Amino acid sequence: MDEPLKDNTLDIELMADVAMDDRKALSVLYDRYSRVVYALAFRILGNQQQAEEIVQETFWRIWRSRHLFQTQRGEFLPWLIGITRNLCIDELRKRRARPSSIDEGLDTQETLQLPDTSLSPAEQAWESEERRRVRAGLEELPEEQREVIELAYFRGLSQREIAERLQIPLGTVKTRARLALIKLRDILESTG
Amino acid sequence: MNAEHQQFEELLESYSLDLLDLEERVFFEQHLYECPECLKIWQSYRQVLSRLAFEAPPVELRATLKDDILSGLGMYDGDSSFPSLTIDSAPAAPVLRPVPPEVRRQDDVLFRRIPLFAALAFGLIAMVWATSIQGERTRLWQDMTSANATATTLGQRVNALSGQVNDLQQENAGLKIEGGVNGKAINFIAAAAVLDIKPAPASRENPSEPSGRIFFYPENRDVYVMIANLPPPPASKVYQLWLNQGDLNIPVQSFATSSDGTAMFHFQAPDDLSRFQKTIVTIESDSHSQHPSVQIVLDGPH
Ligand SMILES: [Zn+2]
Repeated sequence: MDEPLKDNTLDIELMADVAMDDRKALSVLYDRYSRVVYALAFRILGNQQQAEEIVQETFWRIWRSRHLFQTQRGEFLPWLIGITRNLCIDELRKRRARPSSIDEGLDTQETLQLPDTSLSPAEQAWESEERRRVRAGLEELPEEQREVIELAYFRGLSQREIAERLQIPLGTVKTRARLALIKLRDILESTG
Repeated sequence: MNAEHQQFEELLESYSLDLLDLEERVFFEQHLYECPECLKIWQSYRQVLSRLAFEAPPVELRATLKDDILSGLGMYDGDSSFPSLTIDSAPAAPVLRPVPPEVRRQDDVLFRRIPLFAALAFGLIAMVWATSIQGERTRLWQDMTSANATATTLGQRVNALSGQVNDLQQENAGLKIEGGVNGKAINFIAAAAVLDIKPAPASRENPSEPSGRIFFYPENRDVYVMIANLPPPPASKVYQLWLNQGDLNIPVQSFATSSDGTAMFHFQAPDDLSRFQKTIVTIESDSHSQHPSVQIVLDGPH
């Protein structure tokens, strides 16, 4: 099967063009990844406007760092998603520091699954297949491990906060995180 | 390395999930950057965690957002990226450009190369800054905050630096220096945060008060610090910069200022600077202090 989104070589080539100030290359990367960036930001923040701001800031950061990318990271997607998630988690932590606005702008979590016209059929197929693989991988984790991933990755809680919320010792949080990630890597590497 | 590696290996997953406390994280990162095994495993976790983004249900994305983003790129364009130095009438000024990716060695040293690129540009700025007369310096200082810092008649200074630049090139496969009459600019990426640190309240009104400016690049947590008007430390003392978060003070770097009261240096922050409450400069008896003395000479909120 054609796996355009997973083609790191192509991403790196595009970033090399971006480093030469090529906006078209950035536009191609935007077409490839903006949906997943937006979906992740919306998943974490639950707010469309803030999720849009995260997409904007993410791609601007890529542009600002374009001369540094190749020396810095071998792979594009982890770098991109790392930037996105950090921005989201920083926003979440800011929200937590402002108790008066804890529920600020939480949109309904209903999602609109519209056909995406900017993706080729092959890209759409790859994306939904990747989505299925990742969800299936998470499903394979024991509930208690999946919970730690949810709280750490998608809600940005520290180990202390997770321990408090789940009423478990810190060491248990670490153990569950360790087992979860080892297992998830084994599952995803065999399917990806 | 092996015994140490085993001790740290257990923290890899918690580190990858950003679960560690600040102290643990700082401790762990010191090992991570020196241990190819941990680095390799961490990269595999990074890859796995990036795929978790696909767990998020697809959401309709506003079609006009792309145009908004692309049309905003101009703010960060080419020679206007901060703080670019445009050198007029500069003969054979060196230009630093990234080497194409295929030329690079893909090894664990890659983490240390990026700062060097910025550091070279930083060195140039620093040299200009340090040798300028006061008025020029003040102007340049102000320009640093704007998107475009321009300094003229830098040619000679740049040439003086090119020998050093060539030496650095030997050590660093990630850089390529191109000389020539067309070489005019050295780019610096835009800092996401520029922070000012000020003297302790007692001396705050003094016109030649010490001050510092911190440029933070979150993509790789590079931090560049410029200090001005801070007299050289007393004999057998050093200045020390700390990142503060509540009761925790992380020693970052000790430094001395030169006779003109300036100092510039680079370090890699253990975390996003916004996660620290402030930056502090103290006078310490030696460069290995683990706790700041009471003598705070500069501090600043983040
Ligand atoms: Zn190790």
